[in-house]
Parts: sequence; C-alpha cells; structure tokens
Amino acid sequence: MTGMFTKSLVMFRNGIAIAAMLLLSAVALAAQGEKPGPAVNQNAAVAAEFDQHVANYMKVHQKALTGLTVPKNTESPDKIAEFQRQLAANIRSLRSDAKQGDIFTQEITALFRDLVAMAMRSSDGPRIRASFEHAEPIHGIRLDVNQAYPDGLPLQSMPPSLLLNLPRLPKELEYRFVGRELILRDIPANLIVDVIPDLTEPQKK
Amino acid sequence: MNRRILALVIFVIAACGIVSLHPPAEIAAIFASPQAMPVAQGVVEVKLPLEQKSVRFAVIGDNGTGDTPQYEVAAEMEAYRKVVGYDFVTMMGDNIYGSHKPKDIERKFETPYKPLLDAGVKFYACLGNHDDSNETLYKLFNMDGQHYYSFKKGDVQFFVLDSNYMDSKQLDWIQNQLSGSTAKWKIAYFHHPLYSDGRFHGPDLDLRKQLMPIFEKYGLNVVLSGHDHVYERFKPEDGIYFFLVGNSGELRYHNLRPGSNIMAAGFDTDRTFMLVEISGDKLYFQTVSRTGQTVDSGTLQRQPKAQAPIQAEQQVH
Repeated sequence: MTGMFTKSLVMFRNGIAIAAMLLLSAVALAAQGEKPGPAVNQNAAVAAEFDQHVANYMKVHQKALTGLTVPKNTESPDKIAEFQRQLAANIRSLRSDAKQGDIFTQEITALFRDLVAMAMRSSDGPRIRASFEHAEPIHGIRLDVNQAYPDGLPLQSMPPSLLLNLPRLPKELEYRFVGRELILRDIPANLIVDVIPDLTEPQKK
Repeated sequence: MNRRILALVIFVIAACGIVSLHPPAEIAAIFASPQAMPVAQGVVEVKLPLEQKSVRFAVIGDNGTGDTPQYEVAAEMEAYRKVVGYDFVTMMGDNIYGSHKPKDIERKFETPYKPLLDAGVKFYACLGNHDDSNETLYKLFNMDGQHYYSFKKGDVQFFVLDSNYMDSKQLDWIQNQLSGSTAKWKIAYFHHPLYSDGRFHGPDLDLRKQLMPIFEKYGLNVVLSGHDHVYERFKPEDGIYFFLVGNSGELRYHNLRPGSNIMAAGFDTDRTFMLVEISGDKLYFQTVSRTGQTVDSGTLQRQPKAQAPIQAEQQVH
C-alpha cells in the first residue's frame, strides 16, 4: 500500500515537472513570436538600402555603355583595352562627384563590419583567416573612388564562406579585399566604385 | 674516286637505317629557330600510348611571365605537340602576369605560343589572381566572355571555374552542370589548389570546404590547379585525382614541403608542363620539364565511386 502511494507521488511530481517545462517552453515560444529581434529588421532595411544604391549604380553603368560595343571574342587586345578605357571614362564622367561612402554609407558600412565579423567568429573563421594569410600579399595601397584598379596588381581571392555572407551583386560588380580595405569594383570598367577602409583584422604577414 | 663514292653510298644507307630504327615515340627533336624562339633542348620521349580516338591535351599554369623560361617551356610544348598531336591546352590561370597592356598580351602569350597557335591548338583559360577579368573577352583564351564555363572533348567534359570569386551563383552553376553531365570523364580546373604542399600559398581550405562536397556528390574524376609555383600530383582523395601545375613560367625553387603524406609526386626545381591522354577508363599523364626531362608519368584508372589504388609511379624530385 505504502509502495503504491510512493509510486503515485513520484508520478505526480514528474507530471508537475513536465507541465512546468511545457509551460516555460510555451512562454518562451510566445515571447519569440511577439518580439522578432529588432536588429534583424534594421539589418534588412540597411541591406535593402544597399541593394538600391547598387541598382542606381547599375543604371549609371548601363548609361555609360551607350554607344559602346562589348568586344566579345576579339583577337585584338587593343579593342579590349580601348573598350575598358572608354567605359571607365564614361562612368567617371557620369559620377564625377562620386565620393567614398556614397554606396557604403555609414549604416551599410556598419552592416558589412557585422557580417564580416560574424563570418570570422563562425566555424569558418579559421579557414577565412588562413585564406587571407596565404593570399598574394597586397599591402600599402589605398584606392579611391573612380580610380582604376592598378594595372598589374593581383586581385586577392575572396574566401567563399565570407562571400556567401555578403549581399549578392550583379555580375558586373564584385567585392575585393585590398589589404584590409573592401572595395566594390566595376569589373568591365576596372573601376573602384566605393571603398570600406580597415574592414578586416590586421594580417599576420 | 670510286672508293670515295662507295664509302659515301654506304654512309648514306647506314644513316637512313639508323633513323628508321628509331621508334616513333622517341624522335630526336631537330628544330629550326623561328623568330628567335628558343629551341627545344631535349629528346622528345613520349610516355603516352597515343591510342586512336583518345583525347589529348596539355596543361600549363602560372605561365604568363614573358620571360625566357616561359618561352623555353613553350618550345618544349611545341616539340611534344609534333609527336603527341594534342590540339588543345588547358590554362590554370595567371595567364598574364603584371601589366595587361596589349603589348603584354603579345609578349606573354601570343609570341611564346605562336607555333602552337599557328598549328591550330586552342587554349582554354581560367582566371588566376594575376589576371585581368577582361581576359574573358579575348578570343584566344576561349572563355566566351564568361568567368566560368564548360566544354566537351570526346568522352571528357571540362568545368572551368573562377576560384578567385566563388560566390553562390557559381556554386549553383557547378552543381547544376555536374548533376546534368553524362560525360564519362569529368575534369574541373581552376587556379587555387584544394590540395598543395607549396609553402608559399598552400591549399585553399575554404574553397575545399565549398567544392569538395559537390565534386564528391556528382562523381568528378580529376581536378587540375595552379597558384603554387611547383608541380605536384596527389594521392587520390575520395576517388578524385588532383594535380597542381603552377610552374610553366614562374617557379618557386625548393618550395615543396617535405614529408607530405598526401603527395604522390612532386617537382620544384624547374618549370614544367603536363601532357594528358584519356582513352576509355584510363588517363595517361606525362609531366615534362623545361629541358625536356620527364619528371612524372603514369596511368590512372577512372574511379566512378570507390577509390582504387593509384597505378602511377611514386616519384619525388
């Protein structure tokens, strides 16, 4: 009789514990549903602003192409060089007042810093860091908006895990690191569109 | 007088006899020197079977220096082409080092490879970290304006990637291409190596993490890369054979890490190019130095799923 009572008491206690856990979980879930982290919405708005800046730049790029023929599959390196020169000149002319921060505004720069830091803190971090450290070293170069990416300077490869963390770009644009700077580069024009200085940690070598 | 004529006739007959005794795969290279091109130095000694209807190509990487060693490798490539009869070259990137002005394209590509280009050999380039993205527009690199692309030769499909910029679009592309490929041999090539014992750069671990699951899932057979300025062949990883040919112009002397447990063969004391012949389920390869020495060669069996032991000679130079 005493044994049965003890067993019932244990079952009762277990029941209360499970009920309490379910209640706490329900409260937690409800809380999550009510308050979706404000940072997420803020980041989404900043990311949308970045997309809009990029779209605006692409309108300029398209306008700069007016009257030019892309020398696809040409045997003449002269034609490729001339196309690149003319496209860059047209863009410079259309963006003559462009300056650093037009696309990478303060808010967008802060978002990029967060995204890069997040990737570095993740399990991919050591591989990303190793990729930077093993890359062709590019040091002591500061690039400005509307400047051509220097002829003969290697392009540092972008660690894929980091790239996957950044907003997508149209095929005419790319991100590149030059030392610790992140540049936005117009590929066909070989032109610096904008720059974020000192985005990454100092490299070991 | 008659004795002199008789001696001359005997000499000529003997000379013809000696030449005709040489097997076709061991032809002494005798070349004129067109437009100050370097003359191939060694004896062409082909270790490929040269089977009928096989796919034959050459591999070069990190070649575009415009300096004498690049020209000397190019001369050896032409010497071997005359015997092997390969009709295309895969380029592992860093096709043009330094300045990319039109005269650089001429000095670093068109002039050294002129005999090959004149013979109708096609070059299929990928982009290295020293390349200008607008090289994709240059017809002689056969990139058709694309940073990544695919082409087929017989039973072999090549997937040419841009490892400088492996974004989600490109990862989706390679996955779709490989999943839809019915080719017997699937070969990917790109600049940055997934495996390397080069001390200067080493393997790109982040790239490996993204690409290897795709390569394994869709049964890629071979990966070719450059970037480290050495030659290296690796023990197969998950049924995939890896080669690194990054010394067809540049060289980092004695740059290979000793004591590697992934290396099957390595060479870091001179420039090289590689010849490949694919026939049925076999891939034959021969790596030739700037001076015409064969530094590595062997036969690999296609591994559809499970790994099989490598059949090539184990060599470290």
